[in-house]
Amino acid sequence: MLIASATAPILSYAQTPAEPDSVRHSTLGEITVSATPATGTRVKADGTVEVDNLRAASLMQVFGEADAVRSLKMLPNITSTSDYASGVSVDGADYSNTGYSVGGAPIFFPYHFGGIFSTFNSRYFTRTKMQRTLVDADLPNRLGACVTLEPPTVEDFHGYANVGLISSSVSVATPVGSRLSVAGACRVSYINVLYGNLLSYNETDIRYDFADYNLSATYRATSRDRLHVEFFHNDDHLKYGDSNYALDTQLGWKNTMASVEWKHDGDAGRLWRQNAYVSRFASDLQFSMVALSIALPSSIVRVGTVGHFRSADSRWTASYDLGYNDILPQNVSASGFVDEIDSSLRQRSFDGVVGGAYRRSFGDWRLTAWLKLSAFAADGYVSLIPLPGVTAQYSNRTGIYTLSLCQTAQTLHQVGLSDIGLASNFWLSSTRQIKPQRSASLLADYARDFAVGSCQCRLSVHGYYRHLNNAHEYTGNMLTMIDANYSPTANVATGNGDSAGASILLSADVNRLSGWASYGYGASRLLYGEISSERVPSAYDAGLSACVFLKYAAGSHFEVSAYWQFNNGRRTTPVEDIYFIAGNVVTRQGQRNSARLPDYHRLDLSANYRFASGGKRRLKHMISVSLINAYARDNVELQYYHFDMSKYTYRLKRVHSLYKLMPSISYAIEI
Amino acid sequence: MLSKYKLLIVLPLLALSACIDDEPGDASKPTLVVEGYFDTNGFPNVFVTFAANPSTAEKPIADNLVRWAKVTISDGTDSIILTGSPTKRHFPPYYYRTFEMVGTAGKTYRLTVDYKGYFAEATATMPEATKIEKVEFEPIAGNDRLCATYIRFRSPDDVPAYYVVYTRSVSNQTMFQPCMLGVVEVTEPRKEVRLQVYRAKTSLKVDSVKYVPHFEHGEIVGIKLSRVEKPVYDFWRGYTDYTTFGNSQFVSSTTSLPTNIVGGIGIWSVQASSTVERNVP
Repeated sequence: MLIASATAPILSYAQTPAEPDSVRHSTLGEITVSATPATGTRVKADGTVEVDNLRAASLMQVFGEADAVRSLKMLPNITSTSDYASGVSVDGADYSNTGYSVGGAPIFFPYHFGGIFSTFNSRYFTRTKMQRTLVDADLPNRLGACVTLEPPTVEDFHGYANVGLISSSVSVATPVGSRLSVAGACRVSYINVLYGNLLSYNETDIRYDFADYNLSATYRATSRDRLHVEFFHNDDHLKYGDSNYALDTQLGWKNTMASVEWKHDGDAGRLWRQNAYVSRFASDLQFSMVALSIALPSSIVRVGTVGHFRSADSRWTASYDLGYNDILPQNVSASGFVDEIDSSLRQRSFDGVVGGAYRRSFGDWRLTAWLKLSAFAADGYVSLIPLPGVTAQYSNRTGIYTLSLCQTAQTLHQVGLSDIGLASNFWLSSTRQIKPQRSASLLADYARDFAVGSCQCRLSVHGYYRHLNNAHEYTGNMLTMIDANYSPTANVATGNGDSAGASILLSADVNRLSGWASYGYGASRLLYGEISSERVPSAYDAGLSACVFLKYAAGSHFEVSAYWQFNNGRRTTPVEDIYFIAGNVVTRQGQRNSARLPDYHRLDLSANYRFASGGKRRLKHMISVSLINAYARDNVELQYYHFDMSKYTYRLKRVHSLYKLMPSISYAIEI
Repeated sequence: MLSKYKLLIVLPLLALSACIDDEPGDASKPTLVVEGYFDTNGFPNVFVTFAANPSTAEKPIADNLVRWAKVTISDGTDSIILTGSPTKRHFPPYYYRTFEMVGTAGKTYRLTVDYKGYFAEATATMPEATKIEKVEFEPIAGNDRLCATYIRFRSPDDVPAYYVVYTRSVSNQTMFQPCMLGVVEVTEPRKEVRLQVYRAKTSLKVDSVKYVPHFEHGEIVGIKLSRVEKPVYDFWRGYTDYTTFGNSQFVSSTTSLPTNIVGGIGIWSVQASSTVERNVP
């Protein structure tokens, strides 16, 4: 029964009695029937993905930590370009086009270093949701998808502790009295303590530490009114020394967010949600050499408010997100290089999105139409962009067909020197020269549930086409930054492009076995007049991808899972010539992103053993063992040319990912 | 019934077999690389090689040396053919030189390289030199073996002036090479500039001695301040960025160095130079 409901399509309908009679009646607004598959990840008929963090946490762990955002990346057309990449590219969009929201507030860079996992503690947040079509305006104003983390709902005391290879985390939630509940979580790493010696290798020395914290309190003022306060903070520090190049690099980054939300559940499905928040992201990249140091601190602070109103019959919604941004794109300071440099640019701007949506069902059809207005103002530059959209969904016994057409815009941009989305990439506000990014998207989805014997299956097909205007890319280099008259906004190229792709996902549940297989293709091309006269693949041009995930529950105590993924290699700019100048090897690059690294694939295995102990309060235990890249595929992260001067020869050398035969073990206890 | 669904799974997996692993292939025609220097009151030195073809296979560097090119320099009046000669002080270990033409400020020099159907040329003008007025040494705190080295010079009236700083260890008999961070643009006339200079850095080294940017006590160092035209400066500036930060995992370098060579890549570095030698105290 559970499986049947889990794989059933989401049904939403409005039901109105034909004629009123003497018996008291009420209008039934919207009923949403949904359940979560055994895998914890659910792809809805319109392409929206929902992850049950509790279930997903036991699926596949890396370094002893589960991550709901990583669960998203196990699905087609949701990719990262590298094992070490920090970001999620949805349908070929840039990492910065994916927004993240916690308690209604934006989080600007929710990643720990090297893509090991997101800063979101999966055991603290109840649910993770990724929307491809942003109907309402109360989500971060991004061009692509939005990932929303649902804060915990506390009904009873609950505690959880996890001890992993590189970090440990604790999560506690408890009611305090009849109206108040609090929840908190923290995760701290001890990489330097345990692995310090391993991270020092030949000429390189790496040090890395991170921590993330969550705290929330919910006060139920009445049976209909709820006040929720949410706090989030992460703090990461990376130090990388290379004595061979006499260059030390430090990178630190922090997100800090606080929000307060009031929610009122009115009669007959009416809803009013009002939120105020402040969210800050700051990074500090520092290069230090002998007698030369360059610091590139960057920050963005957004103070805003979001509101969401839903009408009694759930047909109408109105929403907005208004905010003030204070951005320091790059506060460059350098010393030891001719003159002291201290150039800073501060951008202050107002932006917001206001919109309304109408939802209506007509027999087998369900229609959603919306109109939003994106407004931006800074330094005398004003931008007003209407963002219309429509989604039509048709359901019959052959399946559910969904077609969405919408326009999106983004007024804050993230650019920088890193191709893999490091925290050092900085945020910029729109200006007269750096116009808001815009896209027109066509999304098509098909979903069908069917049974093959006792096997409950769902077939999901997703296709997309997106035309992009005003994509921005950083064109400066390190020496550009330490020019006395350096301005980050003067080193941004603007281009247009298109992305298109499709994927097929087949998920199945049969007895103790569940899983999915997917196959997808995505292409993304951009034309930057300042960089290339021809259209070039974007860094997020995914190409082919495929994955198979299987989970087998052997009784109530033991479960095993396997995940195999395949991707075309990351896009890279090829080296066309290698030559010698003044005792050094330099290279001449070919067309931007015109080559790929070798294909990427790996198999991850995981096993969980659960047992319970204790008396009055039962303690649940789980021991998780996993092996990343079980067949030791040498996936290439980057490549360069090595010259052996003892033999006077040269050859291509490839740097392989450290994610190879990587074991992980963790112990978790839950009360 | 079941076979239909099997097909759904099998077909995409079969399609994976069509994926292409983009191995870098051999270019059909290699690119000619020219690295030429011509200083005021000095003689021209020109290194000619072929760029190496990106490949996974190990290849000998010797294949890239060009030993029989016809290298000619013309100052508008005279035209001199340079003579090939091996050298142990530079890589590549073969260069073309002449003692029949001396660099003169204000003259424009055209370099041509002709080799088996390849033809490259470049033209650059030699500006007026800026004299190094003073060399200063400062002890490095906590290190009694090394010294920080500075030069002082005054910018000319005709700014902007573009400079490349070269250093060499006379004691170790190395050739002048651009020193680390050795590019500077001065936009203010008659400005006194104090610039720290470092040992040149090379990635083509046989030994595993770690790079130390400072000079040692007792070492005889040569410092050359070369004023160049903007295109030459742009090349050396890109080169400096590449060799200083190009190996950083935090910086993705996807740009190529500019060049003033037509028909090839590299640099024809015609430069007005002021040279000093000092014993590090």
